[in-house]
Amino acid sequence: MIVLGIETSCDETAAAVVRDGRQVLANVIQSQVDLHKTYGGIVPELASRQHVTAIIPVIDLALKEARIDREMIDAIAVTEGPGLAGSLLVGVNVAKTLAYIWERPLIPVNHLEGHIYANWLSLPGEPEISPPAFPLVCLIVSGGHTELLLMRDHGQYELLGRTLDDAAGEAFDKGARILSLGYPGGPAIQRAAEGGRLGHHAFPRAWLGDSYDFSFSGLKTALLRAAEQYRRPVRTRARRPTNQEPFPRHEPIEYSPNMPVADIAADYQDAIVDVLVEKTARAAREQGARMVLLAGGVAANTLLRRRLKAALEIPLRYPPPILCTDNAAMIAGAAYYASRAGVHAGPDLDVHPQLPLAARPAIKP
Amino acid sequence: MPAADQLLLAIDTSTEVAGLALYDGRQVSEISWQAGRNQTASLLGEIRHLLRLNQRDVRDLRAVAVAIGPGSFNGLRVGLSTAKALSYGLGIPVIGVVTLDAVAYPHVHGKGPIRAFIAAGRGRAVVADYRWRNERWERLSDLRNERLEHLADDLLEPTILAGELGRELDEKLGSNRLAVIPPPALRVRRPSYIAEIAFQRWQAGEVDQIESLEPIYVHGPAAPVKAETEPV
Ligand SMILES: [Zn+2]
Repeated sequence: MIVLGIETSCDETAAAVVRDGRQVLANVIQSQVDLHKTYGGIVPELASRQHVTAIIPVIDLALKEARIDREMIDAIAVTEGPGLAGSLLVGVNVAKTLAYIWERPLIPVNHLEGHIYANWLSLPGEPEISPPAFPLVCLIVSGGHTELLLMRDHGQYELLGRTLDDAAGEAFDKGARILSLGYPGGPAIQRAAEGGRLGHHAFPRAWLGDSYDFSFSGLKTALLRAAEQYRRPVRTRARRPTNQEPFPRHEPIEYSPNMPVADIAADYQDAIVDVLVEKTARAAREQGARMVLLAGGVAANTLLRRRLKAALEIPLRYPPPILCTDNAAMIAGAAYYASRAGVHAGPDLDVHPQLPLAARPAIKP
Repeated sequence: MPAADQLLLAIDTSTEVAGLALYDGRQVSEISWQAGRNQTASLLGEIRHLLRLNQRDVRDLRAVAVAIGPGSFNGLRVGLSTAKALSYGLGIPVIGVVTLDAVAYPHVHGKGPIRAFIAAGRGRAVVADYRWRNERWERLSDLRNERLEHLADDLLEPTILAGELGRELDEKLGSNRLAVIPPPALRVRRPSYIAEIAFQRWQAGEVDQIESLEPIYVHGPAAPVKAETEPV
């Protein structure tokens, strides 16, 4: 079964072609990172605008790179949520219109489900990997999400814990913003922390008792305090937005060159990773998992991968970096398993910005 | 002479009242419905409905037209996304039509100046002026965002105010002797106007590129657009 996947939930316009939920034939991502850098983060309205112009060329390129005819597409999959309403609607309207014209089933996919199923995929030209073994524990960590799940089978999601405030990726983004390290924050903090010494700056870890939940909002307050003493007087003036430039630009904070950025970033990163590793490893033990999966943009963090691997007695798997960030291959991949469970949508498919990850019907044998 | 196989579908999701028209150069069939803030759920179903009403198949379409604003940013994106997918998926041209051109359209049989506007919320409107010059209609001004109550303030000659107004503003603006206010039915923006304007452009070979076609974004003068809010 060949699935065309479409993903526009946040700031990447993506289309991909995937065979049988396993083999990626094409994976096209038009990133908006450079655009949003100017603003120090994602401006939802600008993200939506980019999707409108990028979506058709991205789909066209994916079909060309996969070297397949339209007739060979068996189904069209699209992210229905969660995400930004104005962004999601571009992908959803394009996907359902193409499904209608080409007379193919339309498969709605939860974005988080997509991230999980990135772990089933092999990139073009690479041999198929063995599928992950159930039961498994999956940690989804991205700019919008921090979710710890137990999966006993395909589509059987049991939410063990989630963040009560900021997502882990958000903690990285906000941290990088505070330290004026740029956007996106995950790679920026990781880079800045290289060579940094641990243990010089105390950052809180929110253990929240026995729960599998997370909380990262206290971290940025502590970071603000740690950075404050090095802050230089502000010289920026507020600019009035105009029709030509309706969105306020990000004005980075200026710091003294004496600020031990590497040390601060290292301790900050350590605090985030500590809690993620500890809770995930405990969940794997307590739930009797046979494997642990990492998913989402923060899964590309090398410290997280290394520390989690060391903390586990069972195998750890994570997707290659290009499948950790938002992409459409993961949507097409998840759709394969969803369609085997009978999931499909009609022309009235709507966007669901707050969509929770719910278990779906079991796959029919 | 346009033949029956020159079927054009026009899509207008500029505002909460969405509309569709099928047009072949002579016959027109149109529908409008209260789509609210979320046209995504209803638009494709209504396209299928309109085609069925006319015993047509989506593969009979030879061109697709879409209103590109001004209007609700998200609403416009629903129409643009659908129109682009139709254009790409069927291999047919797409024609973007400025929504205000359709607002002015029912009044172009005369030669007098027209001021077209579309409500932008919070007592404001996006406005454009039209003049008959050199044997053709021209849209003079850049699109601008103004307070509705000041719409007629700077008129220098009798001008048709094209667009929908509440009763209160009707009376207020009507007291200006230079403001010509048409009867209510002629002020409604109809999807068939989009279709006819686009049909003429299509026949003249003026079609748009799928990639570069995007909504016209007109911001108000006030606060910047915040996350997830709609300025229009
Ligand atoms: Zn994501």
